[in-house]
Amino acid sequence: MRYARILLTGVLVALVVVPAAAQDDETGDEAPVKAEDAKVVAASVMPIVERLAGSDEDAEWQPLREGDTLGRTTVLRTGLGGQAVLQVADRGHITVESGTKVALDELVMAGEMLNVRMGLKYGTMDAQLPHAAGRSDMKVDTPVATLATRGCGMRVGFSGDLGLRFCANESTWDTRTNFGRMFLNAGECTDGALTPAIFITVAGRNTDAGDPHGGLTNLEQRNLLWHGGGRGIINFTGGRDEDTTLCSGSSRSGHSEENSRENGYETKP
Amino acid sequence: MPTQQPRCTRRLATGVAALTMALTIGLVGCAPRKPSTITGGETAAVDGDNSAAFLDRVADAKSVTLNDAVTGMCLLTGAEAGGDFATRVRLLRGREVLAGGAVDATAPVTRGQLAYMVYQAADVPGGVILTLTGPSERYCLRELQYRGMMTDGLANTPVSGMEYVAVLTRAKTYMQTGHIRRNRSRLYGGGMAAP
Repeated sequence: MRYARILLTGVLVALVVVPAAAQDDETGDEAPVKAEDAKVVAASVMPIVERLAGSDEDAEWQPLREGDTLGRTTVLRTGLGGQAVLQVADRGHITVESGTKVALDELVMAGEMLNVRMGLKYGTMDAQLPHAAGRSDMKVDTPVATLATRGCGMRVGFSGDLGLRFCANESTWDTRTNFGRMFLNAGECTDGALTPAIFITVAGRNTDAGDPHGGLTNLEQRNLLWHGGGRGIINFTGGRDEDTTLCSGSSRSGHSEENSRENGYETKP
Repeated sequence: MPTQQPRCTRRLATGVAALTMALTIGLVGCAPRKPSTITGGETAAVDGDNSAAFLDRVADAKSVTLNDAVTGMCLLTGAEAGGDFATRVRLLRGREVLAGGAVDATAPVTRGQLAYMVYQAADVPGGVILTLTGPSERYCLRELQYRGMMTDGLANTPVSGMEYVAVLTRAKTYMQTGHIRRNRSRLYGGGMAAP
């Protein structure tokens, strides 16, 4: 019994230590990429826009002016009618709309990669950092969700009464909340409840052509969307792959395309 | 017998006149007018000269006081937002942004009061009822809900800081552009402002 316990402990230790050591070996060969702050300039400012530079407690809010350079950990807030357009290096621009508070936690160039980390407390912002200008990795934290992508164009807003509203203009966005996750393609929108983009699109139609869902409840619509109508016993239990919903064209796992064909979904190239 | 017909007609006419008078009094208002007392009139405006600081501070409030709501309306309309509460109230009443009646600087503003102020300040065109009867908290709220500027809910509930900031920003956008970006939908109870 005692030998068995020692043996079991040894196996567990080996399972933990060996992969970690192997990972160290793999990463040890790569040359470290030098990271430096990206140059962020206030290209256009419509008052009132203020910035809080640094993380010191005694830091004071100062008005933002055109041509000002923003450093790491800068907080911006705009008043009624205020707007700021920030030029991010040579990659694109970020627009902070009226009545918004946003924190620029990190805007760093790591080689050719632009890493952006931002936090949106309230209001609306618009980021256009297109793929064509270079690779970028963007992450935006909101009170209810975290949005992330590589190479991006998007518009996100959060308000206290309507919650999150997020539209992707470019690339596939990984949208995570406390209770779910959704991949959002270019041209699609969702909200804090991760409502599928197809429902948002239907909701935005100008004409009201009656009930487009034939009397189905939201839960039934979502169930049908995710699990399909079922084909007898074989697909009755669903078979939806997380990466092959209508809202995501990306394939995170190798077998997702195959599964999507089985389930009747099309995976975009 | 020939004298009965005029008597009946006279009685009928009297009845109709009395009924008309009763209806007129009921509609036009014999109800006692609310006293227009201002409580806490000396309360000063906070961040009245800076809308960015004002929104930032109000966003953290659990419920918005009437003092802050009045300051926000002054900022929205471009009026002088400094000074004490009584001065700002008189200023907004002069512009018909704030309704008559008693006001308390420390009392939480309700959604109905906010809707009334935004409707008047932004000069939103109303529907049939609003056109016929004039602005009221109830129908201003319904109008703003229809237009996607405010969410569904009752008129007598207090307004949270984040909600106030969102509504104020939408009102400013409406005043600048003349429209609100929104998606009307059953999913969102009739209206949802886009980011």
